[in-house]
Amino acid sequence: MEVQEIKVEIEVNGTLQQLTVTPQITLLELLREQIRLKGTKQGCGVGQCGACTVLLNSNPVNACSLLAVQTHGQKVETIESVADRGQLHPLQEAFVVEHAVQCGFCTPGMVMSSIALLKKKSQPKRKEILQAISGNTCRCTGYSKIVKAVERVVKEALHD
Amino acid sequence: MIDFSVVGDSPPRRESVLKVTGQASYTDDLLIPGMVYGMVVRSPHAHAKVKNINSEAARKVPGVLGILGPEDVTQQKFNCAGSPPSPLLVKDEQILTDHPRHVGDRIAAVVAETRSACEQAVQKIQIEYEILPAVFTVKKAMAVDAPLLHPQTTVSNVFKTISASQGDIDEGLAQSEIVVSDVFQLPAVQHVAIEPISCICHFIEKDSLTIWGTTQTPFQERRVLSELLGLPESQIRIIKPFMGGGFGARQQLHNQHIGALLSKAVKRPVKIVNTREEEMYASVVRHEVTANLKIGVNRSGLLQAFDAELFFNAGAYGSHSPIVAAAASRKLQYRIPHYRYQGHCVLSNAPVAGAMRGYGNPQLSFAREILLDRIARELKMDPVTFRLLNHIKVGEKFPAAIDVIQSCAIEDCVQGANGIKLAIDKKANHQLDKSENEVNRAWGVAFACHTSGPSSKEGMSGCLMIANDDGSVQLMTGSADTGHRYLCQ
Repeated sequence: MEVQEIKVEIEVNGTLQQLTVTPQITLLELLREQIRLKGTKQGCGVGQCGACTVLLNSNPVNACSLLAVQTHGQKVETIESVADRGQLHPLQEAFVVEHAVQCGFCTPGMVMSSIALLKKKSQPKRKEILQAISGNTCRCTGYSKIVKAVERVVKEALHD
Repeated sequence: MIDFSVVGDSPPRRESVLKVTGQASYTDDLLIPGMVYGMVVRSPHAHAKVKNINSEAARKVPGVLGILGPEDVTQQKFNCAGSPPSPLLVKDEQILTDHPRHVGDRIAAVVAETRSACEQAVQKIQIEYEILPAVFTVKKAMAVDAPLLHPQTTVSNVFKTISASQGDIDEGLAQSEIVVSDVFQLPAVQHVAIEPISCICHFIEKDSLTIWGTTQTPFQERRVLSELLGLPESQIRIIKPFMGGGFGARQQLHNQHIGALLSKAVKRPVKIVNTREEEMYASVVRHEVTANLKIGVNRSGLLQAFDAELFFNAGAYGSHSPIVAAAASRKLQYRIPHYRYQGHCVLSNAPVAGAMRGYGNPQLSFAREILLDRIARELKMDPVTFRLLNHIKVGEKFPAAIDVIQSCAIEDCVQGANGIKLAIDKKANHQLDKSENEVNRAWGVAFACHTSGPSSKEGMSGCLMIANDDGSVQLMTGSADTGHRYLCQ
């Protein structure tokens, strides 16, 4: 059986990537296995837990539930793009300080969903924060510290 | 008061920066040179006999390197629990079986160059089953005509009963002025750690094995593997990378044994990552429990008698069950002269039950605290006052325990909780919209006690610390960090 291959162009973390993919691989497999960006995690593999959340044209999506070919010509951002040359993003800093991280497996997805919210709205209300991370499951923290971390950034931005 | 500079401080965790930037490596993030993939072929039937396995078509899938069936591996029975050796841990499980006893039981395993080749091969393996009658609940498993799960090793599906007692329960109940009883049914619960159970097994040459994987009890797992694979413990190395949660589910072996044998067969490192479906039906659950509870008390509010009979649905294999049932007998932090506990471990064709947060504690505590509330209502006593009146104190023993307890800060605990309650009430009163549609809020109370007092085991914990000349310290410990906050800062 001949394996079909398709050429795609995707902007990943600011770099245009010309890639050859098979039609069945997901964006998550492309990122993790082909580009070797391991920061995005596979939790459930069926779009339920949000561990694989990345930004597609600034919108949060489950990378496990999108085919790589669907992202041709588009812009993908992963957790690896959030810190700027070793300097943590204020949201990452807040996750650390507020103890919003325990096992850490949901953290990259949680950070990406929160970043997407903050990009759209610098002063979200608590309800909007809860809505933004409603697709991300965490089994350790009970969420309250994660919400607190996002609120910390919101508060800091207000004082800047 | 002593002014501590470390105790009471809340420094950020050392590894959080790695986790918020996506740099922390979990098992599935690791690439070992030469690594290939493994997948387990699992039974779709809850109880069956394998009549025939035809893997001819599966072997032809490009990239497939090998397939193992029950006849290709050791038939030795083992117990997968990551517990210290105990006669309570029955050995009734096999690496691969031709007699699956639950949906998800391991029948065969595939090793291939890629995950997708594994998936295709698994689908192409043809297995003929003779379907056997299956029982899923404690009640059905204990019926006279129930099929025996392990006829070679047990004469009944009730394979172990753990007992504990003090005083005379009949006398205690007879003397009690009020006796309250009920039956509580608690369902099985799944851990669902976000990271699936994963391992990479590397059999190097003939006699050394390295495993990277999700584990909470690496040393106990090494001991079980050593016996099962015939390797000295010194030749088995278990490495735990960052782990995406455990909650008890990883206090046991999952795929490490079959991963090791696949690696031995192909002489390459083999990675096995459970799918979410496998996590749900083929890993481990919290025990479904039926709890029959009877509590006797005097009008003065003093507890007299506590009679508990619990039925634990163990699922298809013994695993941790008797130790979980024994643990449940030791979590009774009230002063009760007459006490009887019976914990029956019952085999069934339900998913295997094992360790999960609380380890035998939540089921009985849930039932007990509800009954205590009912008694307090009947006595017209405040539920907290009633509990404190009966709570164990320093110098006393838990019912049926040998050692006296040396510390107990329950009064401080209640006082602290009360402070939090008052603060919440104050804030809520301020904010609550008193309209009719508003959610009604009320307070409830329950006391519980875990891994302290009579539950602690001497010699279970230890560490090696090396202080270096520059003031830095190296810490070696058998405690696995599952992502919670301890070890080093």
